[in-house]
Amino acid sequence: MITAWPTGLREIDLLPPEYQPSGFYPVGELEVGETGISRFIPRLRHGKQGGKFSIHLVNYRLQERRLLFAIAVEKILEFKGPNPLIRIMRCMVAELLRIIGHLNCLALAGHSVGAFRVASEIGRDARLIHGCLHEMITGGNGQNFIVPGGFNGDIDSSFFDSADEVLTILKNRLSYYKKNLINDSFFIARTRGEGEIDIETALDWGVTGPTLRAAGVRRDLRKDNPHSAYEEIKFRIPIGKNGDIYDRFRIRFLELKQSINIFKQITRVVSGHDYSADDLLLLSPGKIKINSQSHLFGRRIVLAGEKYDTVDEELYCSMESASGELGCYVRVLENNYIEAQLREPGFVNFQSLRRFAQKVRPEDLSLLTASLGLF
Amino acid sequence: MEVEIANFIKNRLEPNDPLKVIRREQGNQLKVILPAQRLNRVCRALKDTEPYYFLHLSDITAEPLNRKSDKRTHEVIWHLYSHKLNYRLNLAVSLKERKCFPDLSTIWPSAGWLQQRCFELYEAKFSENIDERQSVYPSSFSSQFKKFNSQVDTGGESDDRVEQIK
Repeated sequence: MITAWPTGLREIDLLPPEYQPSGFYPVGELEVGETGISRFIPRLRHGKQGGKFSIHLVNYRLQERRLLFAIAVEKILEFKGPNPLIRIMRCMVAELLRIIGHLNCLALAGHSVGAFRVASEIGRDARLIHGCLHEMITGGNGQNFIVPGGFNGDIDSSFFDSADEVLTILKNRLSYYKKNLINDSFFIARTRGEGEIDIETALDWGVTGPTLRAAGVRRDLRKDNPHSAYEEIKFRIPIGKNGDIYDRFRIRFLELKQSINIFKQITRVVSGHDYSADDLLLLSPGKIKINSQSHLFGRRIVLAGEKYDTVDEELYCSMESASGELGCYVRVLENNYIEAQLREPGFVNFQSLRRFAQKVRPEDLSLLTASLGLF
Repeated sequence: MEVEIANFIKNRLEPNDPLKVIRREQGNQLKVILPAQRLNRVCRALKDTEPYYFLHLSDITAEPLNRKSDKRTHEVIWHLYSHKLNYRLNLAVSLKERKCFPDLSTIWPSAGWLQQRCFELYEAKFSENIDERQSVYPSSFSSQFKKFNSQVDTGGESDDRVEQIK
């Protein structure tokens, strides 16, 4: 549980020291003293651990994919609809993942314009959200936490307290971001009027998410094609006018506010209780096993345990991620195989880079890359 | 809506052209299987005609070569989306192996890399490609899907793993 604001935390390397297939990147630990967090201890190669509170970077892209895959499988196999609790929890996870994506993007913007202090502080805030998600997900079964049917693990009531605390901190920090990054005259001078994308070009090149909304198209899959409980949640979709780099970062900043508000709406309903896997999973955990060796890129996913009647059925399912439309095309084959192919928003946005980069100054290419959400 | 779209596509085809329409209630989607030589004409009409305006090409996916029979057919699916109607349409074309699918990058420039990915994953060839990497692949090129598939079907580690899970 996060109990203090880690003011003494120094900048650490975002790159993981070692890759773990479970989707978690342990980077170090915080030593917690009587007066709060006193120092950061990087994770050492020989595995020596000294702190009490560990920081993990969750592979949030992987979790987004798992969430979408779970929704798609439930739709195509015509499972009974998840109960309201699971639906609302899914919204909560999706919003936390969106916040991480937006924060990473803003941090990269800060780095690109030389605002290193702001960038490092945004990165630090992102790691706090990582910490929340890690606390939630490791309560379950590692990478198999988000599964078709619900969540394969327990969620403790302390998670809601710590997440609420972190997001309150983040909400208070937004004015700081606004003053020192979004409204900063140097940042505006670098980004205003650069890398402009008009609506027609954006649609032709298939860009989605904040890039498309910055061009003036009010399209958000959470409203247009809502999954989980998004129909019942109130939020606004900010749109831009010019479609330049500045508008894209501003849209991400405004969406941060909306995501925090969504999270607050959800915690008002679900906080204060412990939830066990029995509440959060419609199916018994042994009923579905996903072959974790086959990643979700055009490969076959094995679902074990049942024979499905819906052989040769297919479905395209999509959800709004931080960078745009995350799509999943699933097809049920014989022998309990489900084939999945993902549409990565970054992949489609990336091919438009050569079109949009033509009039951009070379020194602003990193800003353009960050604004399109290509990482 | 489904009937209107199906009729609209049918009117763009020749009288003897085969057309198959599959409706899925789960995702509120329509899948239309049409001849390859009419794809360009239909897509252009779907993009430019009111009230459809299918301006957004979400994705291009493919079914791998049929493993069960000797048909050796490919199916490529173009996933279109209309902002105006908030409706998703899946256009599909089936072709024999080694034949080229029509290139749609002149209608939707975003098709370029998606076509390339289809080739790399499923060996579905397109008449033109934006970065022309297809032409420089060796004749012995084997797609990622095929590699994985051969592991599962012909034995080896993956086969054992599948058996264990079953």
